[in-house]
Amino acid sequence: MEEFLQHSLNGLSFGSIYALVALGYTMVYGILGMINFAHSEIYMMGAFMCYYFALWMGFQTPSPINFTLGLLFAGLMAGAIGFLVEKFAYKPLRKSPKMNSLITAIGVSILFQYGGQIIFGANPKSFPTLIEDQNLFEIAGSQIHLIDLLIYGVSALALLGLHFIIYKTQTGRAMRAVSSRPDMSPLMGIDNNKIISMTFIIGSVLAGIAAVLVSIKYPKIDPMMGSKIGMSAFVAAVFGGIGSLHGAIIGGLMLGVGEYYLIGYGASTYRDALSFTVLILILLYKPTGLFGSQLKEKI
Amino acid sequence: MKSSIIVKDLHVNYGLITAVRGISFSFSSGEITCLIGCNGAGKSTTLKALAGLLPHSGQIIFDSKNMQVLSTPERLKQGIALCPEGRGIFPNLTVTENLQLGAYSKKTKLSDLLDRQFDMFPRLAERRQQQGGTLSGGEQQMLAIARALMSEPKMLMLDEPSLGLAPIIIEQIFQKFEDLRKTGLGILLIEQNASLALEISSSAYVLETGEIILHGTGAELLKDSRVQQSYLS
Ligand SMILES: Nc1ncnc2c1ncn2[C@@H]1O[C@H](COP(=O)(O)OP(=O)(O)OP(=O)(O)O)[C@@H](O)[C@H]1O
Ligand SMILES: [Mg+2]
Repeated sequence: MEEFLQHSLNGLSFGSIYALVALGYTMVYGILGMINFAHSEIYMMGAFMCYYFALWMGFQTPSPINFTLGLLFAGLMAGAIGFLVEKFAYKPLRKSPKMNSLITAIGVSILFQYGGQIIFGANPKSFPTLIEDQNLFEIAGSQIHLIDLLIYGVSALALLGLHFIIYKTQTGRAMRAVSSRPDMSPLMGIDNNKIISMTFIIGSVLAGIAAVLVSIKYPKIDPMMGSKIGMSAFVAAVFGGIGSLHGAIIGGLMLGVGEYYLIGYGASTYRDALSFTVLILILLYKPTGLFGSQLKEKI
Repeated sequence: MKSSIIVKDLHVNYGLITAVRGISFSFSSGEITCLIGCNGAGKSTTLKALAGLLPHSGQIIFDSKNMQVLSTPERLKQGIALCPEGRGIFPNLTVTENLQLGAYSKKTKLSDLLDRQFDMFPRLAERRQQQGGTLSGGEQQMLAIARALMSEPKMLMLDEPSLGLAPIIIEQIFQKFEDLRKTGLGILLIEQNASLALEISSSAYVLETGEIILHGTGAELLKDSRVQQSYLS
């Protein structure tokens, strides 16, 4: 029972990360109908931007301020990179067949992975300790670490912020409008291009934040680090119903928890197989995923 | 001061198909102008071109400003709104959200604008939180009209607003158009229901296969034998 709780807590922590990354896939899919395969590399870039930022700022001792600054900087830079990728790689192809953007997305992803190996080096770098992890307290025999608490907290804040933007602001309403009737939205005075850029920026900011949280917990970063988590987050998005915001969040949490049960109960070799199995089962039996209805909160 | 939109030699093509062949007409604030014609005559195409949704050639002059270089959102900012054929409701947004988006380019307070529309369409007020896609056809039509009014346009183009509405509601809505006209709004109206449209229009055009074949006041066209034969039964 104690073990079960511990695995659940760990799983939720990783699941929150999946959820943050999955939202980027699902938002872009919702608005453009394409899978942004370069999203995992934007995640990776978030980690590296934070790494260089810490070096450049000469962060020596861990502190909450360093942590916050690093998080903000990574989010900002990831957002900027997401914006540029959309503008230069996808926007010119907006009117051509979907397959073209899909192949371009894979190309951009490879460009970042191998460009990253040339510029940052292929060897893993140790991520600076932005904040000192510690055992905070115990619940029913389970250790609660500061970093896990931060992951829960920051993810929850980011999700609340996202929810606010999507459901309470004109920009968010416009995002939902463009995703359902892009032919009608201009009649409201909406510039579809701006809204699409905004979608990429928001999704990328979330990925950048997720990358820093993960890198603090597992402080080794390398240019290929996005592919594994990108795959799992993508599966989480499909599992929840691609295009659905709530689906991405629930899909992410469930996948994270599922993986930790496998690890915890001695089947860790099958951890990576879980995403693929889920993906295949979903595509076979319920391609719309858990929440993939046509009307509901599709963005 | 009266403003007006003057359209000169408007051409619109869909690929190789020409849908509008060099039409010229005008409409003004404080007036209702109607465009009638058979199915496929090019009425919706004309309105979409005026709203900037379709590539077109010719001139669209709004108070001596050229509109044809402007995008759809920019034309809306100038005060030209279109309530499109088929309503174009955002199905996954609530009634309130649909209306709020109608005022997307407005910096003023939304609640005042919202209240005004809810006063005008009490049926919508009852259904504020309902998703647009689940409204009845007639309710969607009201929502589309109210949403177009949220931008406080100077010129409102309405593409078959009576479609799918019960006769009693049509009368109410036409009464609203008349009220709006009195406040200075310019209305360009497309209607299948030609007699009703001609009755409230001070100026009217008949479109046939992309060309204007007749023009006169509403009263004149009501009496015209060709119009009576083809459009009034
Ligand atoms: N997207 C399109 N592609 C090709 N042809 C089109 C397209 N839209 C309209 N057309 C053609 O252009 C012509 C004019 O169409 P339009 O929709 O303007 O007619 P309308 O006068 O509004 O008719 P209705 O009263 O049926 O609404 C028609 O012949 C139609 O088939
Ligand atoms: Mg039409």
